[in-house]
Amino acid sequence: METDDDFALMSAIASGDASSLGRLYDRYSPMLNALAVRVLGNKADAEEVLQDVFSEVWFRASRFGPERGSPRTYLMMLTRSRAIDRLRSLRTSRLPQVPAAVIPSDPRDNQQPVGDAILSEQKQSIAHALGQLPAEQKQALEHWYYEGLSHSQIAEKLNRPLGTVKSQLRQGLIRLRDLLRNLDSRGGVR
Amino acid sequence: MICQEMQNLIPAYLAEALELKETAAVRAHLAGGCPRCAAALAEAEASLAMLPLSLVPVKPAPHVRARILQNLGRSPRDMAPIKRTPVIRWGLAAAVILLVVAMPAVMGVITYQRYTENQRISAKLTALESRLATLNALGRTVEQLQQDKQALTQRLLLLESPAVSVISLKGTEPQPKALARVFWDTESGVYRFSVHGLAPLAENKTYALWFITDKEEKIPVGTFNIRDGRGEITAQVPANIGRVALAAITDEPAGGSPQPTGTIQMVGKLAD
Repeated sequence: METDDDFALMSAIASGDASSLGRLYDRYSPMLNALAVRVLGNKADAEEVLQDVFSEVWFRASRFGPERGSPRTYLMMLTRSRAIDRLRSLRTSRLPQVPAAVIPSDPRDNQQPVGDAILSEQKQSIAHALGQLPAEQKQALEHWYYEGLSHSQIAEKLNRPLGTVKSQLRQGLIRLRDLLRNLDSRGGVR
Repeated sequence: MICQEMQNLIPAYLAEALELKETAAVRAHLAGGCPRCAAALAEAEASLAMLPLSLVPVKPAPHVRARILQNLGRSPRDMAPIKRTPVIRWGLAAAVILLVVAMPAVMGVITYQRYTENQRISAKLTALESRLATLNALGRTVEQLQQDKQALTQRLLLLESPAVSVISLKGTEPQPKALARVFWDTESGVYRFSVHGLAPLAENKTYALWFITDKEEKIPVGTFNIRDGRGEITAQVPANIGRVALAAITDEPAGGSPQPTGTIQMVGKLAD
């Protein structure tokens, strides 16, 4: 999964090339969908978010530039943002949600396209980094990232002081960055 | 807040874990275009964006791709949703709700934009004021250094002059350890006293220097106080007082006295 190719795809999409959008979708939709499913707890809502995300990519590709980071980072951030928005909207409408753990995963979904060695290495990097994070920091980070909870809500859920949660989030993010940076310098890829 | 401090706050900023003031400061700083902090933010965002790589990928249903590509020609509002939700007629109530909800939201956006702009300007103003204070402090330091240089230059000229004689004054019984060096420029008639070992006086008192002539007239030269264990006074001998035989230092009321009223603290012979 070549980052330069991603930038080229975004540029082509900005020029109105629908096939490039299709390629970007094929490349990242399983990952983005997994994120949306993790946040929302069901495939139907996750797939709607996916549509929103790629619609936004199509209509706003011309505004994307390298200063916004890599296309993958942009897609992840956008997907998370839309998914959290939808989750909060669903919470207020009190519609029932299926816990993410109930959704069975298809082993075929785990297959990666041939030649995705870089992505595989990155998955190993993040798995290793998450394994190195202190449990409380990882917990706070995952509650914040995937559930869109406020710090007060996380504190209540985990039965910890608010200041502790904020500190754990902050330290968790710093530690994650440093762990990934170290893996980068040793030849790991981001 | 300096740039390095800002960079340290970036992860907390991203995690929305800063106080309002800090958040505004970081936002204003980023809006100012700092490349280092922008890079720090990008790195933190990239780290966060890797979290979902730990999840098991979930392939969307095939019709999702088809629907996305099918809707490319339409604006986002025109696109059909994948899941059809019940159509509910809102009518007039919907229009009113939209107005009530949208107006504060729009005003909120404008207010927020103004707030953000104000914060950015406020941050710049604070930075400029800080720089101005630093420049003022530097200016005062330069001025002080120039004054010090002038004083040192005068002393050096005095020391280097072949017409200068050096005389010592010694402490009397109240202050036996006090010592003064007198640099006397015989050409110009200028005396420079540098006094060591005199004890500081109370606030309502001061030391006074006297020239005592052959005719025992006591001429007031000037007053001085002790600072960091030293006292200094530079005096020009008045032209018409005749020959100066002695110099003496007494303690006097603050502001001096026309004639000596205190105790003699130091005395020395000045006549050559």
